[in-house]
Amino acid sequence: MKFGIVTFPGSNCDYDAFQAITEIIGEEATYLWHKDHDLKGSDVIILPGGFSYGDYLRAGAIARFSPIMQDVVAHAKAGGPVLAICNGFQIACEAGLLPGALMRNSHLQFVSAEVRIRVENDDTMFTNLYDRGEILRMPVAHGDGRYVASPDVLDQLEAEGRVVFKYVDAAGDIGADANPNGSERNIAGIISEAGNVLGLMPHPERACSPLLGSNDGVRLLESILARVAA
Amino acid sequence: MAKFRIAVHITPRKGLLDPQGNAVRDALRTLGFKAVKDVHVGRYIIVETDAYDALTAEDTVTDMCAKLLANPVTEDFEIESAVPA
Amino acid sequence: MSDVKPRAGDPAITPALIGEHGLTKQEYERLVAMLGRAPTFTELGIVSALWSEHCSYKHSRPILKTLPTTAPYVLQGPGENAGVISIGDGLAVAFKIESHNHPSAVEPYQGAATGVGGILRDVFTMGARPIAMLNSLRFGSLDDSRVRYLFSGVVKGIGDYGNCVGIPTVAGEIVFDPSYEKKLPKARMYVDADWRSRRALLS
Repeated sequence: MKFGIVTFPGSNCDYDAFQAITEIIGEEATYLWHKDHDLKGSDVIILPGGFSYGDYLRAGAIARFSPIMQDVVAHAKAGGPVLAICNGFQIACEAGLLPGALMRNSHLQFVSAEVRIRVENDDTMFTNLYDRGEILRMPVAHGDGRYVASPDVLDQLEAEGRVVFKYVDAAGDIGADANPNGSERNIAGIISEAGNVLGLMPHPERACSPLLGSNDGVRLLESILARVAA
Repeated sequence: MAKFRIAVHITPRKGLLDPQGNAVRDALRTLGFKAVKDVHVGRYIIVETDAYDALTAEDTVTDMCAKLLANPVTEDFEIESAVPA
Repeated sequence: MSDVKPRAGDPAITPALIGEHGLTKQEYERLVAMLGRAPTFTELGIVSALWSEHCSYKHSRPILKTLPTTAPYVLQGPGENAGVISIGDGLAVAFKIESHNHPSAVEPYQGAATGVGGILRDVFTMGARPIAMLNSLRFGSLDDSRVRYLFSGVVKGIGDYGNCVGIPTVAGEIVFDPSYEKKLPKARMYVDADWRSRRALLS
């Protein structure tokens, strides 16, 4: 399985994603240049974290107009898997691949910390190797991670099982203390209607080694392999 | 065709929590401006564009706001009248 | 040296003007000797920048000269953008440390941010990839409002720039002492290793 990792000017987690895929998961990975119209035969697209275009205007607002995004959107519309991490999540929302938006963290500070997220739906392309209710530890590093959407959209997401991860505390409870950025209903990650696009603020590609504190992110990547192989 | 200058005010959508605005409000009150009720922090963008006339320029900039300059999920926008530039 | 005349309207080169440009009497006399004449106003400005502490490290140089610079494991000593040292197994590490006192004292946020940018540049121009940052900061007493302004600006500048480039700041130190009230020495250090390509300069 081939993973295509898009590099925008200012992306800085593309290298981490490449390492996670090639060295931990053992699959093929390639970088996709933002100016190209070439997905290089990739089966899965990763929109990595970083500060594409310096977060000018709004985070992800300009990256969504990069030439490669036309191909990424087409790939997504055709059902292809897209993993949108952090800045990737911001870009996906700006591009309309996912509903809602990511705003400045409610406490206005950049947050760099390990968080706990709970798996809300274990029957998705990205979570089928987890159990519902399982608590995962992953790092976040962002200034604009507060997920917002209208109450209607939030209700719809919850009703359709499209809220995939929520921020929780050590006991697994949802509360303000567990929420690193003020996201509505502690939402940390969501999927598209067709279930093939996942957007999340935490970094699974940085939770792939006990050496780095957690390897809870490995099964997210392996879930994609399992689902596509099935 | 003539050149027009249009200013756009982009503000956080009404009803959405605006922590930046709140932080500025509290700072003003601490400075002694106790009567300040609310503050909202947004963006001010100036677009200079060629257009057939002022009305067309304004329509075009409205389109720009919808497509790029403002995020409809989180922001409201207001356009000032086009001014010949 | 050809005869260069002052431009019309240039201020006269007086001892007061020389002092404002931060040059000592001895430095000015040295400049005159090197030029074979008095400098023009423009030349005075250029040299005062070139011979400032920030650009020339003139006060630090005598002390830096006492440090060792050669060893079997030194692949690149002084003179390039960053030094490179072999750590065995075909690996090498590039280090750089730099101060950014004056810019940070003038504009703390941008001064600190550009300090981070500059030192990252020094490392990757050696063909190596930055993997970690450190900082060593000195400020006056936080009782002083200007010091608080500098302190918050510098911390935010280092943080914002570091966060944007995605390179972690792994260690640092900070000292508050009234002797640093006027100028705040700040140094940043960057470490990186060419892990990925392993084309350490040993071969």
